[in-house]
Amino acid sequence: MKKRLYFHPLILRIMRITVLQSFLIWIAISLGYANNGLTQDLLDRSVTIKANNTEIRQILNQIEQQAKVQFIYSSNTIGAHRRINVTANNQKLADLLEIILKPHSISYRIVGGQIMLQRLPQEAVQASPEREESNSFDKQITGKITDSNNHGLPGVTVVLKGSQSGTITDADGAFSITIPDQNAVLVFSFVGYLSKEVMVGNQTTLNVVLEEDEKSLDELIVVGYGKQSTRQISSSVATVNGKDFADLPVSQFTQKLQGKLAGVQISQATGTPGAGMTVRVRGAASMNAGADPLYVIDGNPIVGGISNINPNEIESISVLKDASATALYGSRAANGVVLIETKKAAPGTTRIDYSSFVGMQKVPQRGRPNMMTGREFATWRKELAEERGLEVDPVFQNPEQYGNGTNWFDAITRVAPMTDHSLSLGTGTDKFSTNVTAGFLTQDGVVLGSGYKRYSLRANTQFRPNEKVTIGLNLAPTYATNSNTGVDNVGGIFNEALQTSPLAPLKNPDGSLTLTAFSPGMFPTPNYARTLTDRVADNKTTRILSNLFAEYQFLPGLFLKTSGNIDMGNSSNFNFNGTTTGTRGVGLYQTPFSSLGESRYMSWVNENTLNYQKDIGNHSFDGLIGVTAQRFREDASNINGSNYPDDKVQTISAAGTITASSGIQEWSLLSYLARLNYNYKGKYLVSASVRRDGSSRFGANNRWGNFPSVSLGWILSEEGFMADINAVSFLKLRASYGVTGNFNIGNYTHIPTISAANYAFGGSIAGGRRVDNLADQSIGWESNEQFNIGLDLNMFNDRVNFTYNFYRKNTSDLLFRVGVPRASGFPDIQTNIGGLKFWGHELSVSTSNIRKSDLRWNTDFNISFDRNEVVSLGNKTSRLISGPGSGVIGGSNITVVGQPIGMLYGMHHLGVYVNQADFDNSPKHTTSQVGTAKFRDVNNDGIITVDDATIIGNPHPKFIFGMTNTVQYKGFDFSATLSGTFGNDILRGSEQTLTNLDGVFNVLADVKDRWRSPENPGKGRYGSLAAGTTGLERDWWGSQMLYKASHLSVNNVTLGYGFPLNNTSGLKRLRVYASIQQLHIFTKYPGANPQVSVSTSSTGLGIDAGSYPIPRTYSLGVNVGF
Amino acid sequence: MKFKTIILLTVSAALGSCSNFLDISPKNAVVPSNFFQTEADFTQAVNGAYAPLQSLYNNEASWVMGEMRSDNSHFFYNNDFRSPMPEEIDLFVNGSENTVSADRYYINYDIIARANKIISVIDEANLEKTKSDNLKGQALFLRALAYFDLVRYYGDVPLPLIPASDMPSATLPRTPKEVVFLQIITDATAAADLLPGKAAQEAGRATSGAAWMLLGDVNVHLKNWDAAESALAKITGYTLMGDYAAVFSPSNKNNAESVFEVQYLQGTSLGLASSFPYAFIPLTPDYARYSQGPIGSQSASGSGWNTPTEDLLSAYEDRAKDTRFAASIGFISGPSGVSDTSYVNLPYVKKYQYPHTVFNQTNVNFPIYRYAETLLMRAEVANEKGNLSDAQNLLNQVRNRAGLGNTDAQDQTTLRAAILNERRVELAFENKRWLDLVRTGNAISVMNALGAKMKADPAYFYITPASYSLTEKHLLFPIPFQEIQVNPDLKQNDGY
Repeated sequence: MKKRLYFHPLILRIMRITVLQSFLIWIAISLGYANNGLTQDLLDRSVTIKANNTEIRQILNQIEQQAKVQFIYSSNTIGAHRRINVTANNQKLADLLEIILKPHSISYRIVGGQIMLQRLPQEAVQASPEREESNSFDKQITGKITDSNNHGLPGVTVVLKGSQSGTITDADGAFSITIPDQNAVLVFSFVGYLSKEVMVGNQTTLNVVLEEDEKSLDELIVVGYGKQSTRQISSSVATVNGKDFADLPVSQFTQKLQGKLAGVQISQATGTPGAGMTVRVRGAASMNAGADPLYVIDGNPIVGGISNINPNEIESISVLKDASATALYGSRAANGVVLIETKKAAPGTTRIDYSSFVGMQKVPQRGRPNMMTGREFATWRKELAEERGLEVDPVFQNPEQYGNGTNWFDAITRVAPMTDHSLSLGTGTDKFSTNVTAGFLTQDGVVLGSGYKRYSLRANTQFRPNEKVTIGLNLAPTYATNSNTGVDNVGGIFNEALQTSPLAPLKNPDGSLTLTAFSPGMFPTPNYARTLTDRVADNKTTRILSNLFAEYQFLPGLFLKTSGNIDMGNSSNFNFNGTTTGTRGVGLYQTPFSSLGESRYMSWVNENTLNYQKDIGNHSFDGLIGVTAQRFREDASNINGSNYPDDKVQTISAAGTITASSGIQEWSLLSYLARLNYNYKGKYLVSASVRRDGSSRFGANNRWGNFPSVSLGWILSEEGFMADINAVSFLKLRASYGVTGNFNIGNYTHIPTISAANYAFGGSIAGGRRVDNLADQSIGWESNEQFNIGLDLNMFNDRVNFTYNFYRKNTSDLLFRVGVPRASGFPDIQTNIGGLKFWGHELSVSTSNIRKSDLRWNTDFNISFDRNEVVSLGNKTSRLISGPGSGVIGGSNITVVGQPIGMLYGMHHLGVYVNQADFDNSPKHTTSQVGTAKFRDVNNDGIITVDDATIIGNPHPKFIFGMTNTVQYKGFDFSATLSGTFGNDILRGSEQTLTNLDGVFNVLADVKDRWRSPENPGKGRYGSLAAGTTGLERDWWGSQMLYKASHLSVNNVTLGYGFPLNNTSGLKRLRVYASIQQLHIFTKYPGANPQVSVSTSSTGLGIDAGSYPIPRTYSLGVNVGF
Repeated sequence: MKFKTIILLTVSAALGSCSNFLDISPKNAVVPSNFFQTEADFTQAVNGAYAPLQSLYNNEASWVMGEMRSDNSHFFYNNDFRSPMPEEIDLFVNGSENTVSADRYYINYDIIARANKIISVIDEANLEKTKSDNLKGQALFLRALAYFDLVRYYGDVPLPLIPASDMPSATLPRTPKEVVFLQIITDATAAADLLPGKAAQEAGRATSGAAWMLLGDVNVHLKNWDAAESALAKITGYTLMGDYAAVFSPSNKNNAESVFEVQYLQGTSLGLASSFPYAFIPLTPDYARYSQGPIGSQSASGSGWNTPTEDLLSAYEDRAKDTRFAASIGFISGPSGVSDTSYVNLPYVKKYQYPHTVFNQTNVNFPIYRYAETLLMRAEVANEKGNLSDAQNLLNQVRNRAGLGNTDAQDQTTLRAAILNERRVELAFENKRWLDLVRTGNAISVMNALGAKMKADPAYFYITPASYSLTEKHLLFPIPFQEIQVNPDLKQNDGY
């Protein structure tokens, strides 16, 4: 290490104080200072200023510095480049603003301690000549304009539609206007709010509530370590507001985001209650296990997952996509960063909101596997015996007696209720504000026995002892329980229950569930309905997220922020398998067994940032430097109890045999970061940042990595030459370049570890040890260089907004677990090897199709084309076989140079050897016979071996898309969300058992059309039943199981009605709605869920091994606000 | 100013956090920087090198490849759940994708990697010489044993002798089997010199006797009769147990007849028990009676393997007199566990079934070398060298213990056959038979003949025409195809 910090001895002594202790001291000191200040009315502050022929913006800058206030405005809108003269000597700010702004038709108001400026319409100021002439009806209308918090809005433009006449509201939001007739329509508009048109009719008083326009370009959105207006951002960030996904009856907020963000693919692989979704930013794909983005909640980079977060707590979500946006998160940013901001109370408001829904979940008919009925199964088994020359078991002799038999899909599924309650209380003054959200969700699963409950609380409190100091404490405990047990995937109950004999009765004559369910010649199988009912699964998770921060303003624009964040969690999973439960192949468990897994983790992050914002003339600077430290520790233990005497006592202590294991995982990260945002005249934007990360996961020689980025933006629409193009209301070009890293390599891979390998000698234990892994001690950082260009174009008064991005990402020194020959004694080595490239296009369009006062229709559409390709791999063969598929050919996915990661891998199925001639003339496997599966001899060596397995499909979609339509008509609102993928394939591995020809399972009814003889070859998909012939088709996964997975999913349709309420009543908002989640999926995929994937790893995508069905949910909900 | 100082200090405290902040070592595991130093460390490392033997002999690969592949045993086809991988090996239709034959390959290399590590660093550790010699001798023995297993099943194999440390050293081509044999002889000879005799060694560890036995076995395999004779002659201090059945009893672990056996131990939470006897019991509701253990959940896939063939039953000259018959083979009658078919005198391997307390955790060791085999090997060497009376005497020692009279075989050829058959029944289910058939050149003819007989019998309706069509290729197993995928320098055995 050449770079080394030298510290003064005093500092070295101080360094012994732990970071957290220092943090507490710092807060104490800050509080002490805080007492010195007194809040003053902003407008009463005095200002002395003298300026000649100076731009308004510069004058505002001076005022900001003197009066320690902050203005918010769009230079463009208010015309801040205009030059004026002003002289003021110790004048009150209020008076001064009046002098400066009024002649230039600029109004102001105070919003959250800042002064917002906006332009008055010219028309409103000059009385229109026509108005004087039309005097026939004139009627005076008065009223008040408020925001949704019932605060008067000053400066709102009120215009009589179709005329030039109008006015603006006063400081309280009140207005008065004269209208010519009853048919007059008034248009109310205000920057940052949605315009509203109101027919006057015979009213004389009009009270109007304007709603905030979240899509406003000047809205501040959350970016890494700060906020920025959409206008000024030169990187690629997608945002969605909490309000946009309020009503969806689901437990996961990620489910609500599906289809709403360009470049973000969100897939629901399982319907298990409370289970998370797979989120992939820009087709993020990694050769390592994880391609998940980094989640940051209120500035806290969390470690414990997002599935237990109450969606109602969320104010907004920003997804950082390009390297310029993410590089400040350095080594964890390669897969994108998701910033979640929770709801805070605004000063001066008090509100109580309650929302709730009740839903019923039901498995849709589409995609249910069509299994053989009792009659069909008995017939099949009879034929099987006959074809094998065996005696037909009497059970199968008379198939007709069975009718449809037991439908095991129906037997293990049910209609399940779901309810959610969320109560939010917010109140605040200038000095103190708090927002508390309490939630309770309970969701029974549609599969017997499963269910999820979540109790959540979040208290976000801010304390502002004076105008220089802000202290915040966010505390969010959650407690979640579930009773879910292995239903998904190969060997999961869902798949196996389907294959249970339809001849076996579900219930005994007395109505109780039977214990076992199999017919002669089948695996011993329990009655899975009984197993699901009787099996105990008691899983609990407690999680506390907390942030404590203090921000101190030294000088106007100079802030120091320090924060301590904690993410801690505790989970306990207990399973008890009693003697009335069992598994296939065993039948009922003869002796009960149990397991108890417990884990505790704690991650703390300390961040200290210094932020300085300064405008000098036309130059605007915003600089940030910081240092952060994070440390994680997890302690996990697992106890297995077996040989219980009976089912009566289930705790581990009742077990006859107990085994236990435990482990500890730790990592730490120390980082330095810096960023500078600069803009010239608000239209030339530059942003540069760098982060330097040191991680415990790398050896001492390669511990530190640097992650720089730069981005440029140019707002063309502010240029003079664009002024005449009226159709274009906003146009910005962007370009960015940056480097991010990846530290998902496990905690100790650079250290060869030695662990236990015990033996026994002569009847006593002999403690032994062995080296566990082949360790690359010089392993270093992976680098992801990403280039992004984009444009934002708003047209027709922001009624049509486009955003386009193209990106290209090159990964080099890929951190990759490379397989090595087992002859080395080790299976693999984690090292830097190989390279990947990614590129893609993203387009999102949002249009305001109809924008009338009583009818509004908006459409948001996005589409993303993501591609990836493997450039090089370390293996000498440059190929990696992976995935959960058949072990016979090594896996179900292949990664090979020149192709996308994890392509679907298998045999090319060519049907069956229909007759002897076909058999004699075709390449064969050693076990092939007439009537068995015929595969393509890919390597043309004349025989079929594993070497003929090849790429058969692509699990990556050609494009993904989403569309949301919202319509508001008077009090009614309607929304529909669609999402889908196109061009990806699924290998339906569950057909290994669902079409098994051995007679040991019930199978798809389709199997009836199998090869019976050369004369009766069937459809070619299913082969002969003869003994010893079924292995190839069953175990050699291939194109016989491959399907197109393109789909269009109608995720949600909601219809709501908001009751018109009198503002004077306590009730401010009352809305009811009905919603259907997962309405329908349009797809040719025969399985239930085209988004399924056994594995979330990029090297194991696109495999359907059977999964918990995703229910359709019908719900009714209510939102009440006080 | 004071304020700014405090800020500075606060930030510095966070900033510096001292260099220790990023130094985190695993708490669950030892790291090499503080291991491979003391005698205790090396003892643990050597114990760790034995550990894969437990996996290997609990693994189906051991009996599927050693016994089921031969004419000694088959599997019981009950039309219910079958596992294709072991069946394909039995039927000679296995390919390089076979996971069972891959397991044997992988586990042997686990032993080799651990032994390599010990052998490469123990001389630098300055341990007391006798301790050091003993530990190093054990490591050399284990390495030789593993390579001998590999070279017989797979032919040419990679021959790593130093620990892999990076990609190139982990990716080696195949070494000709002649070179591998030379290395085995070198290692076994060195081990024999370094190791103490059985009397001076902790029970269950490799001894000089075990090393000489291995060396004898290698030389018998190579038909180096002189070298075999001199190695085997050095195996002293062993006697046959009076009762054949008692040899395998967990109460007689490492008995006077035992030269080397894989150690198992029930009743620990460390997974040191054996479980292979369970695989030999067909699926039956009454299995606890046969396993002599408690009730548990018998799995279909782990049951009904290594079923003795009629051919083996008839290889016993006199089932009544030969105590080995009743000790080795039991019969099951009664309901089966799956269909409502019943078993009628279905033979099963009884040799390893002893009482135990936990389901699927048995306490029996697995014999690798017994003194009875030493005698039979010496008989074979004597016969091949023309010392027929020596051969007869040695053979008769084994026969007499089993309750049989002296051999009738008088000439070299019949004696050769008699010794081979004696090995078949004496060492039945000790995974010797397939290798004996291969090394004596009988595998192809014996197995094809057996296959033809089975195909003609309607009871074996499930045997496909391609089965039991042995050619030279079947004398070796394929290199696991995953090994070739990551190392294209490896060439596959012919025909796979």
